[in-house]
Amino acid sequence: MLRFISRRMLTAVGVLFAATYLFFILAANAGDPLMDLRASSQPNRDELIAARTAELHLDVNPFLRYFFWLGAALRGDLGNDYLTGQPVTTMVGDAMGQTIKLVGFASVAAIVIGVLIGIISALRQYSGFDYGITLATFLMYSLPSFWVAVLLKQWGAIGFNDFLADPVIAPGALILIGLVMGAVVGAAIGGEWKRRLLFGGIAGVMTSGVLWLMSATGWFNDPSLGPFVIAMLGAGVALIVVFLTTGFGNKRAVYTAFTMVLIGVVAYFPMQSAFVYTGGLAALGTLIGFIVAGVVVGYLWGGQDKKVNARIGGFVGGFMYGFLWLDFLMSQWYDYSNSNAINGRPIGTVGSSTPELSESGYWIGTIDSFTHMVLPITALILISLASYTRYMRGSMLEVMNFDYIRTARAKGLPERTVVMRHGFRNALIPIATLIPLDLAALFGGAIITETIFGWNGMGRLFVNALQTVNVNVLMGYFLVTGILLLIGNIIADVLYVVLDPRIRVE
Amino acid sequence: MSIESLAPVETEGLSLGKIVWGRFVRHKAAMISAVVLVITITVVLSSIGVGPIPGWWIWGPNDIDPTIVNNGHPTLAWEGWWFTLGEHPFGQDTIGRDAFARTMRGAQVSLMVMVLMGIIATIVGVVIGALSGFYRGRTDFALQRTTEVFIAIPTIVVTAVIGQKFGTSNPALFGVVLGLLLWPGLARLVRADYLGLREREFVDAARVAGASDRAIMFKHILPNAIGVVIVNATLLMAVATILEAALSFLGFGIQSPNVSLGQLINEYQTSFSTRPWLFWWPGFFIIVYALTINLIGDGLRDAFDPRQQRIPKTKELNKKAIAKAETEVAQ
Repeated sequence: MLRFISRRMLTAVGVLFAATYLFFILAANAGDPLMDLRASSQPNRDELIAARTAELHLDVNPFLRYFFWLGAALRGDLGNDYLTGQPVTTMVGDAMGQTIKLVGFASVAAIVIGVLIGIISALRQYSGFDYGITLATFLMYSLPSFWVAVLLKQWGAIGFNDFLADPVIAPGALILIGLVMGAVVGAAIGGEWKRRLLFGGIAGVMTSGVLWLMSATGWFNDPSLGPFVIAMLGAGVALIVVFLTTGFGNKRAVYTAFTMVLIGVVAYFPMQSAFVYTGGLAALGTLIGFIVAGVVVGYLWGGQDKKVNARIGGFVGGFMYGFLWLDFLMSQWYDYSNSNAINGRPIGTVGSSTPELSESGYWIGTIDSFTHMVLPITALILISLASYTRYMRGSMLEVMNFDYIRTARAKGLPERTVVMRHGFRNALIPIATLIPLDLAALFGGAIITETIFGWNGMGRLFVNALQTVNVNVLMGYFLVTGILLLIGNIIADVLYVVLDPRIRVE
Repeated sequence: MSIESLAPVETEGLSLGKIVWGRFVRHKAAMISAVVLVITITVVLSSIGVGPIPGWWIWGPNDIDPTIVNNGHPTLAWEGWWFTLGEHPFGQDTIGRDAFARTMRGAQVSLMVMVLMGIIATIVGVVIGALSGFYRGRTDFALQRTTEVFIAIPTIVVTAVIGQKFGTSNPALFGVVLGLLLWPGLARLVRADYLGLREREFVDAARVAGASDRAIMFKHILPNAIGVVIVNATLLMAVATILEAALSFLGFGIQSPNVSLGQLINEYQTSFSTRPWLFWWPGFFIIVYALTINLIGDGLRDAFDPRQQRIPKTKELNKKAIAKAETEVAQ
């Protein structure tokens, strides 16, 4: 294995050298970096041209000029942006932070949702739900991202902000949303018509009811969850987690999950004052604290399957903290949306934050970046969701047809164990090998989405640099993304061998 | 039971092409998509004509109608059971150009780019994949590393250079360049197929019979790998439609005065708040292209895959028809 990895690393360095060389030649030929000076009417024009030529070695042929860059790069100097004089390393670093925030969030969401839909779609193969999802994924797959992004920016933002200015949902819309929700849930549940109608009906009526309540009480203007709703949401999460992992027959699992719900609800009151002093790191620390507490509770309930219980406890604990955090975040919404800088239009379309609010603390800052991320993230999820759904569906279908699934059923395992432990885990292998590559590509940024929403990430850095023929910046970008892509490639191969014992390294 | 029914029936053997075609025709989504695509292409090509051949539509893509009808709003409307085009079905832009003619020209250009790109990427991908998988060893190593370099280079840089050196005015050149860039995925799939197929007996048989390497690669092995090639070439064309539009949108593809669907969206996005229809229609045609081609590719994949059960067998269709007829008779 070690030999395999080191050999791959060695060839990767060769590939990187060839690719950077080719890229340098291309980038150097993408335009004229002296364009702005040639057109200028400054008296010292000729000196400026001479200075820039010397700085960028423009008098040297690009085929040789590469080695100037390479020499400096090997010493850790990636050069400067010739327009602003900023060092490339800091530019790339800043852009990378922005991109990870935006694209990372969207990718994780797309993977989770896509895997979920893919599994349900595969388990209900050839049902109305499956056909609906298949058609929807093909449609999403065929959407031009820039078109969706412009639409969201021009319509989504305006519509959303108008709604938030006067947040009342019309009765017709309420009924429609309820019907759609009911139909989707009914189709996803599957089984006999009676069962589908029952579950679909409950889901539809509940959705409409909750939305009506939210609309009637002006919840959207001053949202909050409160201990009661947190308890209900926690109970829901606990039930789902227990249902998917062990089933309700395992009493200790049920006790573990509900102990964590109880701890979360009790923690609501002290957390209200603690949250006021919370910053980003403290929030993360408390989250870890809740997960650890869940693991400990799981172990304390014990029994034969301590590990499963610990996992359930940690999961529910994490979610409980999430609800508490969300509740406090919501309590800040009123101040945020009524502040002068926002001016009653909370959903942002340009940039990653409101400059006037940069000094207003962790909570307002978090809301501010959420409101700016909503639209670009929606665009990104819409586009990347389709491939994960298709992939997961295909992989799950293949796995569920294998002989070992039949064996698992034949020996009398409950369907939950067959699907979750024998099917789902094996179906994840191809997805897991896909993810390192996607995550590596993620650092390249979402060129189009970032450009349209004015997000200063990697993609925008790249396009701007390309427009001004800023070779140093382009090379900095390409070096980082290229290295990450090659590493992602190697990790994907290694992961494949690690996860699937049938595959061996030559 | 009569003697005749036990006698062996002469059945004609079906070629792979016939089997696949038969299965494809029964794939509903793919067939509907194929029909929609053919109709779309017919309208796109015939409306404003191709090159010297005139079309049935009165306006050309760059003609300016000095009278702006209905404030530039689309005149396409439903009247009872049928629709009427009116003077400017997709509306007019600020200087009076007909949006329908422009969209049609954009759709023609996008179609040409897509087809050119598809053909070139398929040829390059098949040749490189075949050489790599057939010869293995050093050839394979060298070609695989080349493929990796091509995957790493962002397409947008190459099109920027092309735009700089040759001007942005040539959609055909753009299609060729895209084709020369987008073959790596196909090459990898073809290589994987060839690695398995080269070990099969029919390759040995061909070699014993004295076939050259070239004949073995392209006459004997390629027909066995044709499924992978056709399916992925189709899906690649759907990707290329969107990619072409995206590059033109960013300003690194086809630029004004040339028209393409992405270029139109780029040109009209600033007038979104006043004339949103200018923005709707080019996007609609991109989606029609990409969606129908994707669904056709999916249908082809199912048709080529003998394990796929989504397509009903003729036997089952017959059975269903008989059952239906029987219930009708019973009533």
